[in-house]
Formats: sequence, C-alpha cells, structure tokens
Amino acid sequence: MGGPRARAGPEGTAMPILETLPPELEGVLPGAAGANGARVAGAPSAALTEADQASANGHPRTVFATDVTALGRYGTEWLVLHDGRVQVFERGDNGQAELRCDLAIDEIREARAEPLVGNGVLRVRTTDGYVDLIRYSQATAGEANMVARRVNALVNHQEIRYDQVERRVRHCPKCKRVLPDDSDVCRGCINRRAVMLRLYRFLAPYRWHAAASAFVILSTSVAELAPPWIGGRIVDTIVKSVRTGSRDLTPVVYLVLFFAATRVWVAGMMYCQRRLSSFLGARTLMDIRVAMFDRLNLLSLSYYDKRTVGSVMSRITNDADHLWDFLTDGIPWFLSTLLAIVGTSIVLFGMNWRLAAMLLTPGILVFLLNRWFMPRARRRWKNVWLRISRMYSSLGTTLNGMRVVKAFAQEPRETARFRERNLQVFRASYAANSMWAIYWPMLGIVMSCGYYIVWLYGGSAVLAGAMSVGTLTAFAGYLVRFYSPFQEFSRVIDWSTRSLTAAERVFEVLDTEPEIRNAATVVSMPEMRGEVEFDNVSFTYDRSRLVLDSFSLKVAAGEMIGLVGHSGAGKTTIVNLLSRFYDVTEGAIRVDGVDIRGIDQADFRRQFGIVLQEPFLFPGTIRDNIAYAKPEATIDEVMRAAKAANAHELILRFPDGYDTPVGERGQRLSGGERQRISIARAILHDPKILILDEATASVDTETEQLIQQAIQRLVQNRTTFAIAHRLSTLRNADRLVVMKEGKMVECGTHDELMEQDGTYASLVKVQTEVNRIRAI
Amino acid sequence: MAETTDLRYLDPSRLRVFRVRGLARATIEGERSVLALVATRAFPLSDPDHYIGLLDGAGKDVGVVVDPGQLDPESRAVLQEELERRYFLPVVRKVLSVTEEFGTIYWTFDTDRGVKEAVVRNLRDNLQEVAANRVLLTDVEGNRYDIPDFSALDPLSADIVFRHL
Repeated sequence: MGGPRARAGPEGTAMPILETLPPELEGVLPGAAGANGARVAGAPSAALTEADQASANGHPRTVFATDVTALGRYGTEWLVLHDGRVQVFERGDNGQAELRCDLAIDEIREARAEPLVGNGVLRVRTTDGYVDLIRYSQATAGEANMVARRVNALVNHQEIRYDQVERRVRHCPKCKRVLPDDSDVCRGCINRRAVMLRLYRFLAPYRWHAAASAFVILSTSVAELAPPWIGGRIVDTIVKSVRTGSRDLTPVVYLVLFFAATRVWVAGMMYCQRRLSSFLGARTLMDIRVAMFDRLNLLSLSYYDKRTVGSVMSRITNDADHLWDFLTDGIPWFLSTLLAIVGTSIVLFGMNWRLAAMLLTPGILVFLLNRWFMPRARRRWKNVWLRISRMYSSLGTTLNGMRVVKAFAQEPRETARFRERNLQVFRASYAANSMWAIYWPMLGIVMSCGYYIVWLYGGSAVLAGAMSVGTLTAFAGYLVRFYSPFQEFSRVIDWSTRSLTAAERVFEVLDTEPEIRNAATVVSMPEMRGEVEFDNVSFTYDRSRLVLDSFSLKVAAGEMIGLVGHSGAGKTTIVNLLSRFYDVTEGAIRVDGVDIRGIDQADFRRQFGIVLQEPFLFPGTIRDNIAYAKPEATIDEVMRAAKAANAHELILRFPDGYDTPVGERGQRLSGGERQRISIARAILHDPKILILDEATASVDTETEQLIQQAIQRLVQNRTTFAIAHRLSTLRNADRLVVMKEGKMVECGTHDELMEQDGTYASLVKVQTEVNRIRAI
Repeated sequence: MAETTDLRYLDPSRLRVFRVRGLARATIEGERSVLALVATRAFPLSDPDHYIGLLDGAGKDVGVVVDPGQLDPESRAVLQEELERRYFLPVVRKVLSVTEEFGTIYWTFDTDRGVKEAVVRNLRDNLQEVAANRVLLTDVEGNRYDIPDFSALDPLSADIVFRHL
C-alpha cells in the first residue's frame, strides 16, 4: 500500500502537499469533463495539462495529505481542491479512497485552520453551518494553513499564491538524517578531508611555524626512542666486560654521555615545541574568531531569529575553542603518539621480531579496552555534570526566592527537594566512579601480560643464547612506551570527530550568505527626501500565517504616521520591513520612488534612524552612546542633541557627566533616563526616516512630560513611523493607521477617527480610562 | 466594567450541550445560551475527565462542569466529542524500535492512536516530567507523546529517558 509516506519529497520525507496523485485516489477522482477514462492520475499539480485546464477553470489541483484521521487516529486522509470543489477522502476498508465530504466552493463562506492542542482542524463555514473537513498534526500545520488560504482565495475569487511552505524539520540531502535546528551540518556526513583541508588553509600564513613544529615533534620522537636501547647496550657492555674481566669503564661512560645528550636534545625540543604550538594555536584561533565575527555582523536578522543568542555565541566560543585544542594539543599529540608507535615498533621488530610480534597482542587488547570504556565513562560523567548543574540551579532559584519560601512556610519542602537533587548527584557520581574501579585493574593486568611474555620468552631466548641480556632489558624498558600510545589512540577517534564537528560548524558560519544583500544593480542615494510608499505589501515569517496582508500607504516627506493596534496586529512588522531587517514577501516598499531593495544599503542605513522600545546602551560612556551613529561628532553636537532630548540636565547631574560609563558594568540608568539618551542618539544621527517604537513602561508624570517634549523635537521634519502608545504622540501625528490582524482598518487624523467612532475611538477611550486610574 | 469575578460551577441538571449545524452550543436553563462553545480541560494531564471549563466564542468564561458524567447522555456525548476534537495526545503503549545517533533519537511508537515514528532531538529540553514516572515527549515537529511509565518501556528507551531527566 503506497501513500504519502512512500512518495518521498525532495527532502526524503512525506510531503503533505502532494505533487502527484497517490495511488488510492487514482480512479476515484473524476477525470476531465467529457474525457472518457482520461486519468488525471500522475499529473503533477504544478504543471497544467490540457485535461486539468479544462476541468479546473485554470486552477491546478491541490492535494493535501494529512496524518491524523477524523477519528483522531494516525492514518492518512486527503483533501483535494479541484474543479471548483473541495473534497475529503478517507481510506476505506479495501485500501481505496472513499469520498467523505464533497462541497462546492460556492457553498463555502470562509475556511480556517484552527489550532488546537496537539493537533488542528481545518474547518469551513458554509451557507448551512460549520463543517470540520480534516484534522492534522503539528507536523503539517503549515501546509494546512496554506490550504485554508487557498480555499479562501478561491471563495473570494482571488489569485492563489503557489508558494512552498518552509518545512520545520529539515533533512540532510545525502543521508536523510534530521538536521539540527540551527545548522545545516549533518553529523553523519561530515566530510573529514574537506574540513581538514580548510583548517590547514588557516594555518597557511604560518606555514614556517607549522613546518618547524612538525620537525620538532619528529626529532623529539626519534630522540625519545633512544634511552631504553642505550640502557640495553650498557647492560650488554657491562656483561661483556664482566665476562672478559675488563675494568674499563670507558665504553659505559660514552654510552652514558650519549644518553645524557639525547636527554638534553629532547629538553630543548620540548621547549621549542611548546612555544611553537602555543603561538600557532592562539594565532589561528584569533584569525578564526575574527573571521566568524566579521561574517556574523554581515548576516541579516532572520539568521538570528532562527537561533538563540547562546547558540551563536557558542560557535564563536566553544566551537572555536575546540579547534584551538585540536590545533595546539591535538595535532602535535596525535603526531607524536603515531610516531611513538611506529618508531617503537620498528626498533622492537629490529631487535627481535618474534618477541615483538607476540607483544602486539596485549597492545591491541589495550586499545579495544579503551574503545569500550571511554564512551561509557564519558556518558556517565556527563550525567554527573548535568545533575550537579541542576542541583546548583535549583539551589540558586530557592535562595533567590527565599522571600516566597518563607512567606509560604515551605522550608521543609525545599529541604526535601534539595536532598533529592543531591541524592541524584551522589548516585550518578558513584556510578561514574565505579567504572574506574573496573577499568584500572583490568588495564594493569593486560599491560602486565606484556611483561610475562618478555620475561618468559625473552628469558628462554637469552638462556638459549639467541638473545643478549641487554636486548631483553631494552625490551622491558620499551614496554610502557609501547603500550601507552595504544591507550591514547582510542581517544583520538572520538576526539577528532568532535573537533571536526566543531570545525564544520565554524565553517558553516563563515559560509553563510546574508539574506539581505544589495541587488545586482543598486542605486546610490546619498540624499533622501523621505517619501515612503508601501505598495500592497504582504509578509510572513514562516509561511504559515500572513502577519501583514496587502498593506498600502503613501507617506509624504516629513509626515508623521502613528501606528496603532493590538499586539500582533502588524505594527512592528511594518517597521521591520521598512528598516529592511527583512524583505517583503509580496509587494514593494519604495523610498523616493525607488524600491528599497534597489537602494545601496549603506546609504539607506545612514539616513535611517530608530528609537527602540527597550533602549540598548552599549558599554561605553554616555557620550559614546549618544554619538554611536556618528563617532566623529563634536562635543557641541553631542550636547545639543542631549539638550534637545531633555537629557542634558540629567547627564550633568551625574558625577561623571558625559563621561559616565553605562552598559553592563557602568551606571545603572532608570528607564526614563535610557529613553532620553536613546532619543538624543537619534537626534544626533539626524535621519530622514525615523522609526519610533514607544516604550510602554510607565514613568512618573514629570519624566513623562520631558520625554514627550523630547519626542516632539525629535520628530520635527522627519518622516516618522511611530508605534505609539501615548495619546500625546498620537495627537501629534499627521495621520494614524489602525492595524488589526495584519490589515489596515482605519486611516486618518485623530479627529477624523474619533468622529468615525470605530476601533481607534474605542482604543483611545480605554487608554484614557487607564490613565485616569494611574493617578500619579 | 462589571464582570463576574467569581468562579462559577455549572449545575449539570440545568446544562444542555448540543450541536447545531456543525457548531457546539450550550444552554443554561433559564439563563443564557452560548452560541459557539469551546470546551476545555482544566487539568488535561492530572484530571482530564473532571473540571471541564466552558468558554464562549469570545473566549470568556462561562463556567466549570465538575463532573461531565452527571450530564444527560446527549450533552455528555457532544461534550466528549468536542474534547476529543480539541485534545490530541497519543499515549505510548510500546516502543517498536529505537535508535540513538549523534544526540538524535529515532523512535517508532505503538500508541493508542496507531503507529507513529518520532524523531526527538535535544531530549533534555523536550522532556516534561508530569508525575512519578510519567513524561511527555516533544518531537522535532512539535508533536507531543504521553509515556505513562517510562520505566516500563524497553530497557534502551527507559535508559535514554532516564539519562535526560
């Protein structure tokens, strides 16, 4: 039995909006009018065949497959829009589709995709009442919304928009695994070689350092091979001397000197190695970080919307750090471990290949032991870390909320809860440490097997005269050196995967192209007049719901527009679009007659100013903050701007005046103070187009008056878009635009709208009543 | 702005819930009719069959039905239909397959509503402890699943859940 699940879309998963007709519906849907047996099956809905065209009045067919049946079970049902009808099919007993509901578009008044708990229902209002058409799960909510929109478009005889819904869940194009939310890096498909190559390109400017580092590692490894061998030679020399009865110490002295020399050489090399790798690591890390930050600055807001600040930060901090570890410690360590194994093996096999071969077995056992233990141990330790952090966080919450705890006399309960958390920490630590109880003894036993082999086989060989005592001693000396690399090596694999993942994430940032870019041909506009026109603008963030619907408005230069409406009505979207933080989905915004997408971004942003609801002050002095947009501003300009914003007096009252540090470690400013400084910033910036997002936080009446005055001065002679909450701002506006659910419902001056006694009038009445209650 | 601020318990003997042309309605005898009824569970997780909160089409509170079992059969049926329509939370009965890879878990559940494949990422953030061993899981598409006793699942799944609690 086929069905949507079998028919995978390009991402490799079921696509709710189907391009071709599923087998269950073939033959059940009526064919083209008059066509005998002509099947519509297999005709992609995007392409119009002649049959489709004739039957569907020019509108291609839409087939929506859902994953929840009307009875609330998992299963497939279909909703088909075609031929002026809406039809719902359910799966019958024989596996074929059975028609459950058949409505003509003419019978439908309105369609809505109603979000419920854990699912949704596509419901239509007909001439006769309400009908639930089809249910859907969270997975297909976006498509269900789109279908509702299409039905409404058909009902209202409008154009249907054939856009794709952005899938919430994305899949790796190669292996179909689910991709993480904030990244396109598929953990399963990391192309190791490509990443390594890119990493090396970062090293390229320092290739001499890198080469020197490699040489140092190589010679250290070689030099470190010497001591046991020398020891063996010393033993042999002494044995020979004893046998011949010679008292001459000279050969031994030479050997010892040789020994000392290698030690000194190794010491020197280690010094160089440390310095070189510190330099290399730190330097490349710096380059990587700066490159990332540079790129991040260029990226548009939608990149930041999809990710949390924490996740972006962790790229620059954690991921880059991993790389640093990899470059400073990892690679040198890996190289030296590799050389140690290879070098020691060569020496051992050279001395006595039979014995060396037998010693390999314990080595491999050590390796396997580690492969088995390490992941498990790491997981347990991660668990411990998690439990500890939970305990601390709950401790922090309780201590912070001590007032509430005491007021409600809940101390015993908090104690019990803390005890429980600690118990979990205890259990986790015990489990983690128990692993070591097994590991170390086992390791010891396996490694000691090497000694047994050496002494037994080696001993018998010496007794048989096949091997010298010195060689035996050397073997014993090499044992530890031989086995520890095997132990280390098992770590390499996991660790290199982690580092490569980190590297991939770093490169992913570096590769991201900003969404908002200058179009191929841009107009430079060094001087704007400030005429703004919204031409039938629509916008959606994630394609499931239009937050702005066919908004049109013409604003003359210097005019002040007040945007009013409930939260979520679309006011913030309008200003976001105007600021070009996002690009419109449909329609166009023009400044001075030119589409803003065609204006050079640098020019645009220079003449564009913004005063936010939550004024953001950077760490720096007050003067730095006021002059943020124009660092070369003179003291006169800064003070004038502050005076116009009614901030000058308050700044003078600070002990450090304009040099007062603000931001994280600086002066804590009150809301009203921050507002006025942010207004001063905008005044100094002197933009032609200004966005004013008024703060809703209330301040005392006196400050309120000061702020109102400041705003009035700010908006003089500028094209201003104000998301206004204050009546005074609204009254001063040249025109008011009332928004509701993404559409403009009223437009006019304050007096005109009060006369109309519509939405605006009632909003004003509520606001005045609220103000009356707030007595101060 | 006069509004009833007291919580209202509805008398089941005076409450009728019915359906007219596809829309649920309610009548409180001698008082009012609610034209577009929305039935909600006040405690969908801890007590789904009691304390049904009724709201009108504008989202305003109508009253609470403590025990819908005391309603007349037709009203009870319509109310139940509305609740079934609104709440969709599959209960996991058995795990058919589970694989964990790179922090993402691929489950195939046998639920009380059928078989479903669920991909869960970031389990720690998507696990909600409801009661002693009962957890709610959210998959990457936003669907939630109710696991009444995770320790009764297969050992691997139980271990995975336990680790992320």
